[in-house]
Amino acid sequence: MGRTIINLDNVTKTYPGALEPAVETLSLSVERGGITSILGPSGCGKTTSLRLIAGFEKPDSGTITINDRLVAGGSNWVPAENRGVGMVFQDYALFPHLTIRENVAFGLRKNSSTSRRQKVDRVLEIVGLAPFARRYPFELSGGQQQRAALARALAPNPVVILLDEPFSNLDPDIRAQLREEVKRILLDTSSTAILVTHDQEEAFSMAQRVAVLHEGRLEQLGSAEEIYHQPQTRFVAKFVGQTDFVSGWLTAQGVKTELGFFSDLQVGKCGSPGEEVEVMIRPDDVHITPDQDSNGIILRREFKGSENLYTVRLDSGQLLTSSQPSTLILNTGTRVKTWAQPVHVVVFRRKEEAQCDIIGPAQA
Amino acid sequence: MRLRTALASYRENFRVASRQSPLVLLLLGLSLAVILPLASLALWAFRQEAVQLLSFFNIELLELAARTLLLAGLATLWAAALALPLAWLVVRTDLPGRSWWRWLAALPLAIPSYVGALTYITLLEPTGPVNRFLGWLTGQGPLVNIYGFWGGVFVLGLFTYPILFVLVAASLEVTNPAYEEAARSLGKGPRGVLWSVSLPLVKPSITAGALLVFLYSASDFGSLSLLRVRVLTTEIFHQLNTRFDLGTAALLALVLVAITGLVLFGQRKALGARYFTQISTASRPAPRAMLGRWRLPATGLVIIIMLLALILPVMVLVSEIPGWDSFWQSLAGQGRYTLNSLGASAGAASLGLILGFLIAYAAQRKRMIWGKGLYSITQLGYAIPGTVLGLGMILFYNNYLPWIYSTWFMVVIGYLVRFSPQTMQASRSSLEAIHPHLEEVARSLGLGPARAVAKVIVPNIRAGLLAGWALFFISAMKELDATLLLRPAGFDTLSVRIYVHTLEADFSSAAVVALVQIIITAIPLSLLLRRKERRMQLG
Repeated sequence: MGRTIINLDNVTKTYPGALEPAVETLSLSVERGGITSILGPSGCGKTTSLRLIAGFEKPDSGTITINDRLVAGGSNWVPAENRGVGMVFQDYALFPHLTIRENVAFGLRKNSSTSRRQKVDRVLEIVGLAPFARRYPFELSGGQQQRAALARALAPNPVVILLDEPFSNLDPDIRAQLREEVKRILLDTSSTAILVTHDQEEAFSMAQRVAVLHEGRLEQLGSAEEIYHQPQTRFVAKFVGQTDFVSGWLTAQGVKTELGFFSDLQVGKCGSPGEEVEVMIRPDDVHITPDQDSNGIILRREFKGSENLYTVRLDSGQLLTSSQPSTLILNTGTRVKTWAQPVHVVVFRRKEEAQCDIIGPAQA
Repeated sequence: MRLRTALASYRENFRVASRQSPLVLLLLGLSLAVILPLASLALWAFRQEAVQLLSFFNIELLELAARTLLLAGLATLWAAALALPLAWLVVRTDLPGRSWWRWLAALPLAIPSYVGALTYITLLEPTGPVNRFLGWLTGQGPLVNIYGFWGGVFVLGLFTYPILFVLVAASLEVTNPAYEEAARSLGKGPRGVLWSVSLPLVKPSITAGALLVFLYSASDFGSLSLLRVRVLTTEIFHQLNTRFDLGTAALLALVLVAITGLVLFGQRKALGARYFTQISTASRPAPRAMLGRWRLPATGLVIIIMLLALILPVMVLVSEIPGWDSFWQSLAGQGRYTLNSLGASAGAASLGLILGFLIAYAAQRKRMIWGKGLYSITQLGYAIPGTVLGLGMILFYNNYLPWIYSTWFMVVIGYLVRFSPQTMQASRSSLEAIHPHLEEVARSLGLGPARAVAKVIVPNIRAGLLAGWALFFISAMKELDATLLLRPAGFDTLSVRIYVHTLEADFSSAAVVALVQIIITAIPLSLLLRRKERRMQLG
């Protein structure tokens, strides 16, 4: 990928009156081109990081650079209007007193009127709103308003576009479609974008890189696959997708669990043989087959349409979730043989937040 | 030593605050304009020698205070007796012509209480038409006497009821019918619903309206002076203008301030304990009660109220015009006063709008040191009686800023102190409807802070700002109590002319000026009322 375009270095921000910092010693760099997603539960500081980059908030400490220019830090402060950062909000924030065309032209005041007209036409064409140029925002549907907001942010050719939960006000069926469209538009215009969301599906489907934030700190930065299969912390493992932790014991060759033996562990990293550890297991890696004399019993079935999610209790008391085809229907109370075949085995030491080893093929 | 460090830290805080936002200076300036006159009053009152002070804390002072309270209380009851049935009939029943009545019933807002007093004095004075007619009938001397305490109660209640009416009608209008339906489903009959649900739901607006009427009545000078009622305000004026006893006037003013302060404080407490809002406002209109055989009496009642509060007064004013020739003549004679009124009111309203918008904006969007405290102080200006403010400003400016004293700028400052809370609140509620995101988008698209406000915020709340301006303008056009004290020699406004003419029993001149004044204020007022109606239809 390209070079770094936005860099946050050790940034801390505490809102007046708040006890905990919203963002704490956050370091994050974003490369030119493509979409980076900031993912996290509400209150994790993701919106604050966005507002710090946009220039709506001043960091208490740390530095922020945009395109190698120091915009915040020390005595340097570049206000929002001079940062060249485009903004798309959840509530669209279209100017209600201006038409769509006027909204899009709003950031192009310095251009000559002909070049402005051309630019507005082109951007409206890209987002597919050319026929609606003369309408007022309230005359458009939610999805159209969101595309108009995107067009307005794109028009002045910003260094980066920041999108704050842009799809959360939309109906689920429009949301998926608009996601694809926005992704295409951002990639076609070779924009750099940062997308803030609490929805992992959204982050995974849109972003090339995902940064997971938790309590104001960066937990992990990587591709969607890395985040899902090789979580660096328990928080990431639990927040992204469904997950269970299963107890295991280290041996000289690997780790032994109720669900099978996972080999190839670099045992030294996680402790000495005999020590108890925990292994992260995803539902798609847990297999079940009916078997009268086996170790598990089905507690619950949740029909999801495309799959059946089974909750299984092992005789040890361990609860597990297993994802099965939607056609495989087993009654609760059925005894099942339960085992796991994970591609990546992520091992945690007891009571430690960060993983100590990951077994399996490295990600590309 | 500790004081010095405290002062230093305040100074530092202030330096930081004013650098963050120079708007804090505006807020501070307006707060000082409110506080300093009040402080001067206290200073003058306590400058009196102790003996004199004590001698005044006698029966006479207590009697004045008691009479003021009693009069304000009775006027409030009278206003409530008019406003509450009217509001219910117009909003929640099938009263014939109700949308018309809805509009008409608010119109007496355009008639200041001293003009109301003028019309009823014209009608009911000892040698007025009513008494002459009754004398002819019964052969006895004057039977009705409008002058005095009961006349004051009658006039004040009659011309302040629209305040209560407007608030209660609006709140009845947005009552969510689901609450009443829920009560019905729980086994309450129509009457039970009225007492246990409908009325309690509008209680906050009744309390708020009654409080406004009470404060207005307790601090009114104009109409009570014309009706020759001895209350605190008229006595302050008397001490100041006839006896030139500044100390006693200041003492009386302090008592009045204490009364209004206590009422405001008590209301805060009472409301604070059980303050509620309806969670969702109506998505459908509230159901209307069928009047049935009460239709005729109800219509009669509404007609009588409108007759008393609107039609009769206007008819009296019109009938006092001796003839069209002399009307135009005397109208031409009012040109200067009209210009004075328009200039001072429009000028102050425009300044007040800018000031109010900037302060409301700062209070809402900026984190300011002391912001909250200063903001509440500026809101006080609205509750200070005009006579008290006038006296306080005279004491302050005459002694400390004599170059402002005896210029018309005094009048403008007085209006700003009294009525800026209106533009401030209008700006504030408009700003609350505008999400900060709009401004942030404008900033991210390259606009500086001031330009972002001008290009994005202002165009979207123009209607609200205009409404705030209109409210201020109307209030200033009607203002008499403070203007009377603050105007420089020769700077008469329409309200002052009405007062003086009435005092001189030149009713026909007073009527001409009053008509001019009513017409000027009715234009922005009807715009305001229409806007409110339209908003309701949309919402």
